[in-house]
Amino acid sequence: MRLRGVSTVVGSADPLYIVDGVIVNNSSPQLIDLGGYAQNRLVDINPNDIDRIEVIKGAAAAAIYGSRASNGVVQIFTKRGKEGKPSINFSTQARVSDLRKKLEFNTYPFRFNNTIVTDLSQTPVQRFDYQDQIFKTAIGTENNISVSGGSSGTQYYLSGSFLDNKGIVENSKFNRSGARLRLEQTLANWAKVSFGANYVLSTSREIPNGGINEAYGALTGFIFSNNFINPQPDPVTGIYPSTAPTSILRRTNPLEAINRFDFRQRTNRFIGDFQLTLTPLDGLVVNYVLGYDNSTQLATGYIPVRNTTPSYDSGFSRRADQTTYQLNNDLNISYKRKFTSWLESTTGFGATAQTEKNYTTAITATQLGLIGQTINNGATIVSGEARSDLNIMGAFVQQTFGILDRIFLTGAARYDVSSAFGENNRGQFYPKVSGSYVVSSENFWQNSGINDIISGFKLRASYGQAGNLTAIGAYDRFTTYAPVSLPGLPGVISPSLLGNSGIKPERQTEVEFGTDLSFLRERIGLEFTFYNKDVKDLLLNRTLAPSTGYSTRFENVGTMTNKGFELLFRAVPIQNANLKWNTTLTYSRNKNEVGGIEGGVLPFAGGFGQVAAVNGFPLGAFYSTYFARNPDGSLLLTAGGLPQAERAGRNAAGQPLGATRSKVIGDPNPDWTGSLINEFNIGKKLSFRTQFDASYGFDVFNFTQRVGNRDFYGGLKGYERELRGEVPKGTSAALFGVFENWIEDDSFVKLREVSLGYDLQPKFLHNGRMRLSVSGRNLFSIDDYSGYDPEVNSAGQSTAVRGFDFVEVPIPRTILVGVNMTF
Amino acid sequence: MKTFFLKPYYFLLTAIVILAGSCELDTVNPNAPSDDQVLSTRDGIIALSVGVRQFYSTSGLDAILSTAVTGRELKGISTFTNVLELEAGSTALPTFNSNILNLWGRMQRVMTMSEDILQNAPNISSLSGGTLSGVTAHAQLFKAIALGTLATAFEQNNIQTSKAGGTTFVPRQQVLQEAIRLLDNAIAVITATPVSSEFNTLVTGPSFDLRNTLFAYNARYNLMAGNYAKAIENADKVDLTRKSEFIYSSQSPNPVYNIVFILKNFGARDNFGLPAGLFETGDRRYDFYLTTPNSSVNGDPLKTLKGFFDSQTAPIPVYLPDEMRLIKAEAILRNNGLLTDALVLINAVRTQTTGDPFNVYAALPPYTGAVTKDALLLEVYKQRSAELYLSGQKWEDSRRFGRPAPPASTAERNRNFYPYPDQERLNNPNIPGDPAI
Repeated sequence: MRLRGVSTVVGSADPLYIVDGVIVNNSSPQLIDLGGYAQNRLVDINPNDIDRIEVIKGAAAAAIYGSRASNGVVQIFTKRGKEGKPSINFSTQARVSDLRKKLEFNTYPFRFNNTIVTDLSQTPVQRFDYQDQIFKTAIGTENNISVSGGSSGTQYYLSGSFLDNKGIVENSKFNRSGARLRLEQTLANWAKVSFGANYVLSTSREIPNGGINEAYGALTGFIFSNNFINPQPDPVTGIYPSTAPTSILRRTNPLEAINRFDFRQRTNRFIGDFQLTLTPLDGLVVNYVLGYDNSTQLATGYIPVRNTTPSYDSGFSRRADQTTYQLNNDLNISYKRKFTSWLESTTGFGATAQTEKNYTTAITATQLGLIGQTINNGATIVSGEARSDLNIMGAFVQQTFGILDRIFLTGAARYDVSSAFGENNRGQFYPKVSGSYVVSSENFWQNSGINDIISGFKLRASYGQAGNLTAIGAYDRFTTYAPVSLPGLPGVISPSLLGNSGIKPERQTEVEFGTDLSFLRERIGLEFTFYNKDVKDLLLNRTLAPSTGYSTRFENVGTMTNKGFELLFRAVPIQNANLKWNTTLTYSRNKNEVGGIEGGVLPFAGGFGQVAAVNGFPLGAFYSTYFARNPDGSLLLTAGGLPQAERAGRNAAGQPLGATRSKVIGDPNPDWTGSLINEFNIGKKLSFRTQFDASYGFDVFNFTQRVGNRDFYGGLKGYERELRGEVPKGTSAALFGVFENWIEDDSFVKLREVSLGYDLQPKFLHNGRMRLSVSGRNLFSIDDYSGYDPEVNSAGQSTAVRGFDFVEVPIPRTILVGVNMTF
Repeated sequence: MKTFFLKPYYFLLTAIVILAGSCELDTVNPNAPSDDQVLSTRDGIIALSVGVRQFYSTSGLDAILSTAVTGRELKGISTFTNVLELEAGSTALPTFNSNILNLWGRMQRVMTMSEDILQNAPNISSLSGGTLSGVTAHAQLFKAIALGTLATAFEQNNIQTSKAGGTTFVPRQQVLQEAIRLLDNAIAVITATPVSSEFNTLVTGPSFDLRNTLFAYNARYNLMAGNYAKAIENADKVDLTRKSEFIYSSQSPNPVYNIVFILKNFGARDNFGLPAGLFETGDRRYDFYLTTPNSSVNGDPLKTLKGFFDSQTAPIPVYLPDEMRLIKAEAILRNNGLLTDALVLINAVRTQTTGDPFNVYAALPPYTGAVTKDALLLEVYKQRSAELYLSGQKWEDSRRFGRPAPPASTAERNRNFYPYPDQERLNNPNIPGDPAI
C-alpha cells in the first residue's frame, strides 16, 4: 500500500499500521527465498473483525506519530460489543480461484538443431503445455463466528475464525485460525478500562517460484525450460527429467519443484492491548494505551537429494525464524473548552515510549542425507543469527482553536528521540500547522440562494513535517566488523559498509491545500486536494570510492519530491423507496522525482541491476541498454542484419563500438490511478456492487518474455517467428541483450470486484437476519499486456523495484459464495 | 468511589515511570564488534589478522578468478551480463562490470585491514615480541599481495587506502616496488624477532607457512618488477618441501569450487585454454587439473575442473614450489645467464614424478627443442601455464612473455589491462584514464 507516492529509498514505503492503538508489525520478512514473494504480516489480521479503517495522509499524521509518519498512518478499529443480549454472527464462504490468463506458449513442432545462425536445420519435436500442469483451480473456505453483547457496565466481543485457502499453483495453500476478545468495563461514570487480545496461527505450504536470487523456483524452471521436453517424471524410476535445453545450464523442472520440494511457513502471533480512559473533568480526556504485538514466524524449506535444481543437487534444507516483539506505551491528554460563545479550544498533550526487538536465526544445510529433511541431516551447515533493539520516545503538544464554528486553526509540535539516530542527531523536532474555513457556515452563504445548490463549501490547508524511521537500521551508526572463521581460527573482517555516526532520519515537509464541496443537499460531494511533499536528508546507501577501503555508507544526501492531487467525487444519482444508487469516483495523480544522487544513478538489488534511482526521474526507473538507431530513428542493424544495443561510439563502418550504454528506458510509476465504485440497493433485499480500478501511463519490465522468447529456452510464443523464419535466426539472442525491447506499456482497467447480495429473514432465525452473497474478483482486465497480469512484481514489497515481471504467480480470478447470519 | 479515584491515578503514575525507564538509547550491537572494539584490543587485532587471510583466501581469490577468464584459462558460461562482458573482453568490457569492481574493491579491503593492523598493533601494550612481529609481517604480506594483484590487472594503483577519499595513483612498477618493500620489511621483522608459537596457534594455524610464503611472493613480485637477481635470491630461500595452504570449511568455502561447480559462472577450457603447440599431450598435469565429463559451449570444448578445486573444503596452495624453479629459470634467461642452468631447472619441472608436496607432476620427457633464450622462455611460459594453472598469474604471464595481444588476437588474453571501475571514478577525481584495451 502506498499513500501519496514513495518518500524513501532504503526504508519501507508502507504506512504505519495501528490496530486499536497497538502499533502492529507489518513487515514482510523473506525467511526462505520464494522468489521475491514474502508474506506480509498484515495477513494475520482477520478482515471480519474490522469495524472501520481510517487513513491519515499527509501532515496530519506528523504531530501524533513523528518519526514514523512520513508514509502516512492507517488506523484499524476492530468490532466492540454493545449493551444488550448476546448477538451471534456466523458467516461461511467458499471460493474458487484460477489463473485468469495463460502466457501464450510455443507450439511450433520443430526446433533448431543448434544456435549457429547460419545453420537453419531443424528437427521435429512435440511441444508441451507446462502451464496446464503447474496451475490448477483452487478452492478455499472461510468460517467466522462472533458473539457480542453486554450489560451497561461490561461489554464484550469475541470471535473465532478459520480460513483455508489453496493457491492456484499445485500444492500451495494458506491457513489462518484465530480468536479475538475485546472486553470493556466501566469503573465509574468518568473511568473505563478496555482489554483486547488476539491470537493468530497462520500456516502455509509454499511453492518457490520466482528467481531473483535463487533458481529453484517452479515458474523459474518453467521459463528457463524449452517446452519440447516432457516435464513428467519417468514412469518407472520416478526421476524428473531436466527441462533445461543445454547440458551446461541446469534449471529446475517445475513439476519437481511442485511435487518434491517442501517449503512451509508458520506464524504464531499475539496482539494485546490495555487501555484506560478517564474523563475526570468536563472536557478533559486522559487516555493511556499499552500495546503489545509479539509474533514468531518460522520458515522451513526442503529440497531432497538428486533433483534438477542448478545449485542444490545434493539437497537443501533451511530453517529460519524471526521473533518480532513490539511494545508501545501511549499517554494522551486532551482538554476541550468553550471560552466564549465564539471561541472553542482543544489542547492536547501526548507522550509515547516504543520498543521494537527482532531476533532472527537462519540455518541452511546442504549435502543432505537421502531421507531426513531437517538441517541436522546436512554435511554442510551455514548458520546466521541477528538481534536488534530499537527504542523510541516522543512527546507532542497540539492546540486547536475553533472560531465561530467555521474557522479552525491547529498548531502542533513533536519531539522524538531514537536509539537508531546518531548521537549528535538523537533528538528530532517536527512542527505542524493547519487551518480550515467552512465558508458555507457564513450567514451570507446560508441566506443566499447559492446554498440550495452548493450546500457545503470548506477550504483547508496544512503544513507539517514527518520522519521515516524505517530507513535506519538499529545499528547503522556503527562500523560493524563481521565475524568469519577459518577451521579452528575465529576472526573478524572489516565490513564493506562504513558506519555513519551522524545518521539522522529523513525529513519530509508536506504542504497541502484542498476544498470539500457538497451540492444539492449532500446528493453530490466533491473533495479536491493538492499536495507537495519534499523529502530532504533522504538516506541513500551511497557508494564510496573503493580506495577508501569500504564500499558504501548510509548518508543523508538525497532529495525526493512527490507532487500530486487527489479527487473524490461521490453522488447519489437515484434515491427512492425502491432503488438507491451510490457512485464514487476517485482519481489521483502523483509525480515522483529523486535528486542528490552522486554520479546521478544508483542501481538497486532485486532488479538484476536494471532498476535505479536516477536524478530527475521517478524512483524505480528502469535504467538499462537500448537499441542502436540510425539518425532517422530506424534500428541500426549489425552486418548480419540483427538489432543491437547502443554502445559508447561508432567504428569506421558506422557500427557501435565500445562499452554498451544505459539510459532510462521506462518508468513503473503510473501517471494516474483511479477507481469507480457503483452500489445499487434494489428494494430492501437486493444489493449489487461493482468496482473498477484503473492505472494509466506506466511501464513493466517484462523479464519473463525476455527469457521465454530466447533461443536457449524458447518456451514462449514470441520465439516461434524465428523458428518459422519470419525473422533472421539469432534475432532472439540479439534482443536478449537490448533491454529496451522488453519494456511494455502496462495501462489497465480492471474489474476488481462485482458482488450481489440478498438479505432475508428466514423463520428459523426468528428475529435474525441472513445474507446470501456471490461475488467475483479480478474477473477481467482491459490491457495490452503480454504477461499474466499487469499488477505483478517479482521484487515483492520492495520500495524501489516495482513493475518488474519475472515469473511471479499472478493475482487469481476468484468467485466467492457466502452466507452470513446474525441472530 | 474514593478507591476508584486512587487506583487509576496510581496506575497512570506507574505507566509514566515505565515510559521513562524502558527506553535505553545507547544500545549496544550484540551481533558483531565495532571498529573501536577490534582495533584497540589485542584479541581484536589477532581476530582481524585471521580475518584478512580468510577474506583474501575466499572473496579475494573469488575476484582474482575473473582474471583467469581474461587470461583464457576459464570460459565465462553463465548468461549473467557481467559474465558475458568478461568473456567478451576487449572493448565490450564496460567500466561498470561487477567483476572488475569486485577485484578492485576486495583488494582495497585487504589493504585497509592490513593497514589498520599495522597502524594499531604497535599501540597495544599487551601485544609484543614474536606475536607482534608475526602480526606485523602477516599484515605486510597481505598488503603486498593486494598490491601485487592490483598491479596484475591495472596500469596504476593507490598504495594506501584513505577513509577520507581522494587517494592518488602511481604506475604499476611503483606499486610492485611498494609490495617488495613491504615483503623485505616483513622478512626483516621476523628475522629480528622470530614469530611466537602463540602467533602460530592463534593466527596462522598449521597449514599456513608465513616465512616461506614471504620469500615466495617476494620472488614472484621481484620477477614481475624485473629485479632478476633479487627474484633468484628470494626463490632460493623457499623450502621446496614445505606446503603453505589456504584452508576452507563449509563456512568459508573454496571459492573456485563455488564459482565453477556451484554457481557455474565459469567453466574450465580444455588444454588449460592454451592454443595448439603450447600444450603437450601426455602431460600428467592435464589429468591432475582436468577431468571428464567434457562439454562444449559456443563451440569451445570444456572440461570438468579437478586439482585443488573439486570440493568445498579442498585447500588451495598459497604458491606451488615449482613456481620457484620456473622463476629462477626465467630470471636466469632474462638476465642473460647460462642457458644450461635454466634448462636444468626447466627439466626438473618437466620430468618431475616425485617429491612435490602437492603432487603436481608433469612426468614429461626432458626438453628437446632449441636451446636459445627465446625458445627456452617460451618453454618456461608453457610450463607455467600448466604447472601454475588457476594461480592467478596466467594473464600477467601472457603480457610478460609478449604473447599475442588484443585487439589483434584474443586467443591468449582478451584485455591488456582492465579499465578502472565506475565506482572509483565517480567518487575519486584522481583516477587515471582507462587503457584503450
